[in-house]
Amino acid sequence: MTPSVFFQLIFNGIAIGLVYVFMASGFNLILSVTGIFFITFGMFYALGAYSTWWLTVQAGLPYFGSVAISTVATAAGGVFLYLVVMRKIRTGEQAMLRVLIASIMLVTLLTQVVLHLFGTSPRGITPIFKGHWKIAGVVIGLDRVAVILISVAILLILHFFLSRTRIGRGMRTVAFNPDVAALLGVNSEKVFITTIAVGLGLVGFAGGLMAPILGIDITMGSAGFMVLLVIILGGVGSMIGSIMSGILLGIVLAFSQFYVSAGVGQIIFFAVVGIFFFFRPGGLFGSPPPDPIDGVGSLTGSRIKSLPGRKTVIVPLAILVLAIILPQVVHNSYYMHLMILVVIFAVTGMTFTFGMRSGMINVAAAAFWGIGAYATGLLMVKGGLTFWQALPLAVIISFVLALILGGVICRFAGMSGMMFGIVFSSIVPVAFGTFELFGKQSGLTGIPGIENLGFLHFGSKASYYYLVLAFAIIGMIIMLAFTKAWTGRSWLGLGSSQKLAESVGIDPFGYRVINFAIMSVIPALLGTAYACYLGAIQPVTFGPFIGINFQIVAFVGGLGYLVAGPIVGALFMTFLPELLRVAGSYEPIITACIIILVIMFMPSGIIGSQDARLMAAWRWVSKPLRRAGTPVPVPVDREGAK
Amino acid sequence: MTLILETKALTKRFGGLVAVNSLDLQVEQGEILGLIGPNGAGKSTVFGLISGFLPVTSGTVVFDGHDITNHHPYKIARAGIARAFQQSLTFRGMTVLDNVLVGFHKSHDASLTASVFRTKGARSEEKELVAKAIEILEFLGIAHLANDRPENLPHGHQKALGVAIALASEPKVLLLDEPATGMNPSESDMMISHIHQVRKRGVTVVVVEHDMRVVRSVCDRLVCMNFGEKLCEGDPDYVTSHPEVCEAYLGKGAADVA
Ligand SMILES: Nc1ncnc2c1ncn2[C@@H]1O[C@H](COP(=O)(O)OP(=O)(O)OP(=O)(O)O)[C@@H](O)[C@H]1O
Ligand SMILES: [Mg+2]
Repeated sequence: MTPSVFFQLIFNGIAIGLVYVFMASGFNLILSVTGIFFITFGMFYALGAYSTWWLTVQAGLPYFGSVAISTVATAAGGVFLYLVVMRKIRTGEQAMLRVLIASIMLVTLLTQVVLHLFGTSPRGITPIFKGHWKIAGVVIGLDRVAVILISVAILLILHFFLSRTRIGRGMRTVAFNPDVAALLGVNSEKVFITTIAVGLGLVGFAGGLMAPILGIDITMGSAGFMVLLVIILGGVGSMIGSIMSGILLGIVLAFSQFYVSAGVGQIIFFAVVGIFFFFRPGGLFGSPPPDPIDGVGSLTGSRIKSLPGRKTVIVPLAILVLAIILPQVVHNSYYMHLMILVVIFAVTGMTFTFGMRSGMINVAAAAFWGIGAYATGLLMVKGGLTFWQALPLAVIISFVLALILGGVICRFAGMSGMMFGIVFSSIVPVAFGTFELFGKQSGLTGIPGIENLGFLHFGSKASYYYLVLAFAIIGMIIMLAFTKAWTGRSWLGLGSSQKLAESVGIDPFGYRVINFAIMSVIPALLGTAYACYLGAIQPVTFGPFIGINFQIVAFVGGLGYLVAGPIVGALFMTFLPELLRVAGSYEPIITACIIILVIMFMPSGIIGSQDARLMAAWRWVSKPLRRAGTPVPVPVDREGAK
Repeated sequence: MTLILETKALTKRFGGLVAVNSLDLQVEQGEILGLIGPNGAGKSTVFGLISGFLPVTSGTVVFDGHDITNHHPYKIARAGIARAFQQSLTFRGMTVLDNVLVGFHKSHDASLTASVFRTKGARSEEKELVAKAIEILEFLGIAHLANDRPENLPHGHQKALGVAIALASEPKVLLLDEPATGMNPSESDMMISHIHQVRKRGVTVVVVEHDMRVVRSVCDRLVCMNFGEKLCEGDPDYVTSHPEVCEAYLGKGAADVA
């Protein structure tokens, strides 16, 4: 590497890094002040870019005027979403999780809106500043110099705003300690709205500013995932941390893009942050934030069955019988396909509920589903194994990966752990799409079907359905067995209050790693069969936006219900888009809106919100059937009554 | 008399603030030691340091002859120090009975495999633990609430449940942080008798409490702290009448102490 190449890459890296600096600063500000995990910010970057493009190219306005208007518009759009959606769900039952799901659904929603408004083709804006200097072989583009100078100016203004103005200081007080802020008479609603406006305005501004250099397309929204790494590295709430690690990411990307590919750069950065994070949970500059996830497993208001409690076998049995006879009744192959998806969604949704009980918001299920599928595919296509030989190997590979990743995530289960999991779920498809081994973007093709095993014959859709169902049942039984064992109670304790659980001798790390490994290996198990079922797999099948569906499945059904919740949620999530087919290309928008409404207005899910009615119905139906339960004996009170 | 718990020159700084300053504390086997002092004296911080929840700045904590300074909280809990928190933490969302069963965490003998496959041994152990849990709940007078949720209980019962969870972990030393705060006189009378009975079970108790009536009626010995330092220690009459102690409490109402 010549020095000129080196400096050229550093220079380019800083320019790219500024995108991440802006996004990270905006998101970090919102997260630390309002506590809202507004991961939708990635889309505001795209919105800023698109609207700048539209205003300059279509409406013919001057570039800087367009950027200014776009900045104001994105800020206003953000405030609108805050007022309509986030304000309602940012406190109360399962706030953290609801905000996460809603903000990811908003990404889906805004993506569709952008596609409808601006079309699918990439756009560009001609740069304002043309020409370049050449210093010692390094090409210094004037456009980039301008971007760097403007960014420095904006960041200085932001710093001034936060430290010198009244409202800015109010924001910092709220971030530091909301209770104290309330005592000091800081109007937190006003502070929140300002924060959202400033944070998302910043992101929208970056979109407009970078559009002439980096071009515009719809994948810009996913840059949000890499930004989470920047925040983990820099520390939640640390502006200087965001700046330093954003630029570092830019430089890593510039180098890897030049020598290998951007995908490799993302993977390297992910690994570096993972290793770093393992040793320094607070990031470079921040201190470990107070954990908003602690207590996520305590489902106040919903009904978790007491562990040694009574059993009703009738409902699960009925569902099982129904699931078994269904293929005999339904012969439509498309519906069979949907049923396979329902089964996968149900059990994967269940892994989410399962993990949440130990206080983890697991977002890596789709990635492990993909790991199981790719491992099987590779072993069969490149290794020449049969499915039944590949199966145990694929499961072991997934299990080992789950232990490694779990080791990192569970060390500091909580906000940063969750963010790291989200990044993992977006990095795994990137890895599939980057390396030749995995067939890059076109994926693995020609995966053979499953060989017959004794009297089991594979070929029809129904046979795959039965296999997936069998795997799902195995997964469910494993999860239920561990839930009923003493591990289950310790997990529940950890999920309810980590501090108290530790004080009675529960090792949070060890217990969570076991939990994580189990809940990750089950999607992988389903992935093995899925690979053979499809015959060809692509990275997009296992992307982070698929992964969010698993969480929605668990949530929509009702998090208080380990088995029934995900089943109801899976049926809902699979058939809702089918019912909305009539809406044509507007279907994804309507689906996303409905899901957001469910999250807003049914905090305990479909079953949870109908719990009383369902229970009454169930009592009525089961009266003649019910076996004598064995409720916990309540002794006659001696000392308590006075 | 043998020392069961000891801190040597224990110090904790939060940034510039010295919350605990070179504290030497000795706890003897089988006693009930009271740790008193005005708000912000550093009492809860001492508990946090002993139980491993706060990293120690300097000094050591010795328990049962072993140095446990900066050990992980769950290891300290397994070694035999349990804690009931000032904020009366409980496991929300689980029944009162399950709350106590979580507390039994370290007394499981059945292996994980046995428990997962629900072998006969595991099931009978489970039954035993339920019986033991009910016994503890009875002992604290909240057994009739076994199937309720802690978040629905009145404050006094939540405090009692916090003690029950701590007791379930079968500690040698129990650290109680303001067990009677916010209780009416009859509730705190109950707490007094519970603390006495806990000691009868062979558990050494360290109690932080502002209610002087409770302190006087349970403690064998008192240590008074102010600004992170030990002001004085000795038997309750001596400490509560000590002029420096009265002075430390002044501002807050010397009448409480006198
Ligand atoms: N995590 C923390 N960070 C910073 N300062 C802290 C922290 N925890 C406690 N302090 C400070 O340390 C000092 C001692 O606090 P501590 O809670 O130990 O007092 P205490 O004696 O238990 O008071 P109280 O009777 O009100 O419970 C206080 O000034 C408190 O503000
Ligand atoms: Mg205290």
